[in-house]
Amino acid sequence: MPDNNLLTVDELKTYFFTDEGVVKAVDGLTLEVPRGRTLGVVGESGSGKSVGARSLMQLVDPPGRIVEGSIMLNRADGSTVDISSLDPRGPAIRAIRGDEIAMIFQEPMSSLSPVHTVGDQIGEMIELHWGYTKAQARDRVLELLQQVEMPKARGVIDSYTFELSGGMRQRAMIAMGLACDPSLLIADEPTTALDVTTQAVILDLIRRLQESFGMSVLFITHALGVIAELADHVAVMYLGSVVEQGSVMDVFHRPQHPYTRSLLRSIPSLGLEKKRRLEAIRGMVPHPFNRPGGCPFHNRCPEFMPGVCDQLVPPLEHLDAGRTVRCLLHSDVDEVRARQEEQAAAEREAAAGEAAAQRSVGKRGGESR
Amino acid sequence: MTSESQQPQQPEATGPNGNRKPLLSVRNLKMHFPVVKGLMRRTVGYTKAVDDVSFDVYPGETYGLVGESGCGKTSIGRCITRILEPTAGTILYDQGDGRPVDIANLRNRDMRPYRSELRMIFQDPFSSLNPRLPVLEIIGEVLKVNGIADGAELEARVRDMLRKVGLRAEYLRRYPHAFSGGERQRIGVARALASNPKLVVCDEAVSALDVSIQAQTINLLQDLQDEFDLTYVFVAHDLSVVEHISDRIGVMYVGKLVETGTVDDVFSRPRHPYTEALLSAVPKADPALRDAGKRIRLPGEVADPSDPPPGCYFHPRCAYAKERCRTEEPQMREIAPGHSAKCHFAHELDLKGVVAAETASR
Ligand SMILES: Nc1ncnc2c1ncn2[C@@H]1O[C@H](COP(=O)(O)OP(=O)(O)OP(=O)(O)O)[C@@H](O)[C@H]1O
Ligand SMILES: Nc1ncnc2c1ncn2[C@@H]1O[C@H](COP(=O)(O)OP(=O)(O)O)[C@@H](O)[C@H]1O
Ligand code: SF4
Ligand code: SF4
Ligand SMILES: [Mg+2]
Ligand SMILES: [Mg+2]
Repeated sequence: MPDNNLLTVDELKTYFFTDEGVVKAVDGLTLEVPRGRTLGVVGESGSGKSVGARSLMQLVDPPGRIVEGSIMLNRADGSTVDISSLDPRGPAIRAIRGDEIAMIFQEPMSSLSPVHTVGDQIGEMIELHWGYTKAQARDRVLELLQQVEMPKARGVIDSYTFELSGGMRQRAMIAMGLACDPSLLIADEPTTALDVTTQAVILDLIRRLQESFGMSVLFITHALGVIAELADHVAVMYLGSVVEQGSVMDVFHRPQHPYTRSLLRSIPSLGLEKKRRLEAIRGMVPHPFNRPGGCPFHNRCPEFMPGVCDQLVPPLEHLDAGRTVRCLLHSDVDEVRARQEEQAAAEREAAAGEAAAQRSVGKRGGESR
Repeated sequence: MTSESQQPQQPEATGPNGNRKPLLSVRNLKMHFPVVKGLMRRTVGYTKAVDDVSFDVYPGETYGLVGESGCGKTSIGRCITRILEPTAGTILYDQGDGRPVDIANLRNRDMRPYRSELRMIFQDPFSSLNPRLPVLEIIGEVLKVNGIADGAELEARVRDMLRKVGLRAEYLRRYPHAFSGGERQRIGVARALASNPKLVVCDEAVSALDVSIQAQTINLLQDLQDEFDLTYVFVAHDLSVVEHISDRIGVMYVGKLVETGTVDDVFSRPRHPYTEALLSAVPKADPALRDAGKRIRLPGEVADPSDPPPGCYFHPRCAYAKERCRTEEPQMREIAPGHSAKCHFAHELDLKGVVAAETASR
């Protein structure tokens, strides 16, 4: 199927099976990363942005794992692979990581090695993925450092990361991300720890590199302003799922989900409606063990519909092209209710069947769990 | 050190509240930290975290301090609350009885009566609360230590405080770990306000909070300011937040104030090239503004406060720098009433402020 999306994520679920219970960090993530464009993912702390991004590379730490859904990657050779079905430690995903999909993080020191020079650690990746010799790799590293506009690139190549400033480290990490010319660069809050002046420079750089390399960028941040500056498309996350997706203009100027609308009203913005009182969203993001039933936003939503939003899980609705929303204001409530009641009944039946089967196993003295 | 920096600087001409006297008058404040090297821990130089800073804070206002990390904002806040003992300068604190006291030069033990009046809210809601103390003791400590309240009265006041910051009074005996980030920051606010302070330094008090919790906390701080007639020194690196909450601001660069004025004046018509660059770098939460106005991107890095460049500290990064800037340090001068800048060319430069956004249809 020819399509304009590099990556299509469908109903992805990544859960952590901890001693205290199951943390549904990503719970029905559906998104599309268009080719050669930037998708901004925005959400508050704990909404599942980082776990979602790591899932796309099969980098989820135990006790977490992908339990459901698909991650379809359209590759350069025309084939398609479902990343969610790959073994997290197998050769297939390792060939994709760093080569086709690369990731950069908020804190460069956690992903850059303190005991290797900048040149050695970036070069090593190129030797590994592209089979370059040491000398060839070094030339490529220098070229990369120049592409990320590293000041004094010829000196930095032999420096250690602790000798660099915050902005320079972030450049080194971007250079490492770009090393193998990936088709998708995932950037998880890469500018959050930087000053606004440095952030502006790094955002410009990412924008320029995205254009000149023609790659797709998945840019994760909690800052709406950064999204507005950088993204072509936006996905808004709340409690593990995307509640709204669309073009950056549509999402900022015509938000369809009450959470998006509330978020936009709760931030102070330079030069905008001076001294108005901020419209805070009431309450707080629920604890991961304590997620509300029905719509996950219902206990904070200004447009809450009693008897509807606390009972039904909002399905994904497609508005116009590339625009989706998960809110019952946009659904046919009667139809959703009928469907979900039917589904619940089927599940009850299946559960009853399973329990009966287990009882009979138990009687036969089988292993009880 | 040049001799002119020893002269007392003139106070700003007019306050925002007509003829009212400042609550706090900071003059020529310096906070220098020794840079030590080697086994012998020899002092090889000084980090001039705060270097010759002067400003006034008027009763009931919010004075914002902005600038890149390391420019000395926190150090100023800590001098005002005397967590740090300043290297030089004066901080006149006037409770309105006409006998201002110089906080900067008090001995620690003489500082005691003022500790309950000058309070601080910290950035990190996780590390700033002692994990081994229940909320009652965290909030009540200042009352007990200063002999303001004890026993049942103390508990009643803490309950009252919890209610005021929007927490349930039953939380009294809980420990910090049982609260979310937003709730902990409310505890931090309650702790700062329990002793009925006059002035509160909010050091990045909302910076670590999520968008929705940040809005709640900003609203809370504003409500409490109205209710208790509080004065704030509000330190933050997020200029949108500072614009929203402040009446007047000071812009800092490498230990020095480079521009002061009302928030409206400074943001709409900056007079210092650094302020212009800072405003230009702030991401605007409206994609329609993406290409509006010129973008200024600062080359290079912030100067090292232990080894600043000669002349104007900003000259290696300044797009308007001329020969004079390399050798001669500019003085802080008033450019318009209540609006001062520390730049040789502040009068003649036409700098760009915040692009007035069209109110997005939300
Ligand atoms: N190793 C883990 N074990 C258990 N729970 C986890 C683990 N890692 C993440 N979680 C939980 O998964 C949820 C989503 O976390 P995630 O790190 O993706 O959030 P985020 O959106 O990136 O937040 P932030 O903006 O703070 O980075 C949270 O509730 C978090 O506590
Ligand atoms: N206790 C200290 N000892 C030595 N240097 C310090 C100390 N506190 C701050 N500094 C230095 O002083 C400068 C200003 O720091 P700070 O006031 O924390 O800046 P800001 O709050 O604006 O980020 C920085 O260079 C910092 O490293
Ligand atoms: S489904 Fe209901 S509670 Fe959820 S966002 Fe829509 S209106 Fe609000
Ligand atoms: S004094 Fe010179 S270098 Fe400094 S800000 Fe003004 S123009 Fe720029
Ligand atoms: Mg994260
Ligand atoms: Mg600070």
